[in-house]
Amino acid sequence: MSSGIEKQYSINKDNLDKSNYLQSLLSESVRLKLLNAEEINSIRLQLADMITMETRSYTQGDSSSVTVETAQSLMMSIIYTLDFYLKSLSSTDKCLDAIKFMKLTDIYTKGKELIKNQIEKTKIFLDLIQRNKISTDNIAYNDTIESLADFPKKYNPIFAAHDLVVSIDYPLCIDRMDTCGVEYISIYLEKLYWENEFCKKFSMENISNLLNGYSNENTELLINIFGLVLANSLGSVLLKRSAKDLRIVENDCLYLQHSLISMPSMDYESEIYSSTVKIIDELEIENEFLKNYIHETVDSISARIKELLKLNKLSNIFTAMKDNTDGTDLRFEDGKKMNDELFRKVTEEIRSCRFVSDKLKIIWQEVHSFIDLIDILGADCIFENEYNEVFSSFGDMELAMLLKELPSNKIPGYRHLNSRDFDLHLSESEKEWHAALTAYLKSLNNPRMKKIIEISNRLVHK
Amino acid sequence: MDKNFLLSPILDLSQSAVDEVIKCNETTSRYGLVLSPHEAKELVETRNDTLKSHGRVELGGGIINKLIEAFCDSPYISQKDYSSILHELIETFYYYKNETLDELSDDELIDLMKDNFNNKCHGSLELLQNRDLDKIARNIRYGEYEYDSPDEDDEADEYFFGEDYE
Repeated sequence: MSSGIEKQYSINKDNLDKSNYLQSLLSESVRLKLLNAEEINSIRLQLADMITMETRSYTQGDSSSVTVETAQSLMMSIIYTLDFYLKSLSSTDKCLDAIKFMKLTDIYTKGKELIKNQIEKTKIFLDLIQRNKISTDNIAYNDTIESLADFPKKYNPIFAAHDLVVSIDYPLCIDRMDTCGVEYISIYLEKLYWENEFCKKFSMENISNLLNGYSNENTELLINIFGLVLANSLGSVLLKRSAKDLRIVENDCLYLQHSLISMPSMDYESEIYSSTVKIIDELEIENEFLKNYIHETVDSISARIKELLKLNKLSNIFTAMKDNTDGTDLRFEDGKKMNDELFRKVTEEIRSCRFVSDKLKIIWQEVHSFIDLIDILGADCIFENEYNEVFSSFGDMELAMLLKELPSNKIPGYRHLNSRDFDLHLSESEKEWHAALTAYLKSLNNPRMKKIIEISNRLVHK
Repeated sequence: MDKNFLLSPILDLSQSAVDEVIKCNETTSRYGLVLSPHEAKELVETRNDTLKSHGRVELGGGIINKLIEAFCDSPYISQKDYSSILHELIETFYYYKNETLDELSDDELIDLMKDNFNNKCHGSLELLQNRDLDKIARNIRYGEYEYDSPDEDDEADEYFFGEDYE
């Protein structure tokens, strides 16, 4: 039974900076007069010896000087390794004893050993994640997992232990980012593994529909899948449905709005808590780490719900699913692209035509692929006023497809995330047809424009 | 306490460095080259300033001594300009450490400096800095395997020393 009395240490762990442990420990020790100036100086001298030793080892004795950046990186690596050992100790008193009575080189050796063990642990998690990763088209998710696989190969625990070496784009639901190097990677991997385990309790089809409901461009967004799934699962339980049911429609949000807004704060908190426990029970989650992770995530979801209740915008957190395969979307399959030689011939032929009607005839006869059509528009063979005639010969479907090719925010009321937004190398003729199409679409009457936008939103390129 | 004091362990090695430089007089005096304590101090200061201005950190030291030992037997150095040449050599050394992307070891760079100074440049620091070492550094940056290969027909040498020059 806990007596409720906590042991008091000379340094409060909460006052220490996790990302700069030794430094903050020394600062606190000096502040509390636990270390005197002589001891601090001795630590600095030992560090100076260590950096000299490591620089020699880095340059293999060939060079007595290094760039400031290299020296800083080596120093950070040494301090990171020392921190690694100190952070592994159970109390700040033990850390202080280690600094006072152990040689820094011994702490360094122990830190290196711990880092080595940690790398082995990350390898195990990497292996597990390769097996439990969820099937999604989210680019950041897939790229991050691919990049993480290279971590053991790229990581340099001797000269750059503090370095992350891999690119991590996928955001975790709870990611404090107060650590770096192998420590950050192992925390990241552990969280990602448990997020995956949680998502695996739901059907991949439901998750995919949830992401589609979140945004049509979900594959390109930096979104956390676990957070979205958990929010909907929580919503479902609040609606007295199964935790596995991710379907939430507009009316459900209205119902929740009415039932939650009138609830006293205490009741609201206990309702959220009991719903979380229900999710954990129903999904048969036994791992303590995942249980705590869910509770922590729900805490932030709950705070957001409170805010959204005030705005009557619960649909911002409970995402309505969208099935892209139910026939509401238009699937487009492109025709065969012509080869380079034929393309050159066709563009030359178009260029040599005097009348637009002749140009159009060639386009309708020869072009059987949408990619070819776009290439022709930007191939310097249609000029200025001719664009208007070309566009007016197209139907709504063609215009809707062309609209997707425009950089976003060109047309009022139409927002489509486009890779072209980030393309700084558009040719002059590409810019010309984009401007011509924008002007043409703006000149159309409102109902037709709306129809084209609607078709464009439903278009899915296969 | 400075927030990043651990990242900048400053050690005052200046006096011991000056003593080490003065110690070199034992070797160089046989070539008629001697540094006064004041000159030695100035050399150490030049090294510190150069390191700072070139964004480098030296741990251990000893480069001034190495340069003195390498250049003391040069036929192009006399007591009159001994100290000023050493100042230039120190600056040149660290400049080309950066320019060669640390690909050359200290000894390799000093050997190249000495070889070019005594032979190709005939004691001209200007030629050493702006022609030969520059070419070597460029070759290294472009990944040339034989970075110190001579020019096809050393036109500059002909220009400076006449057509009879080999």
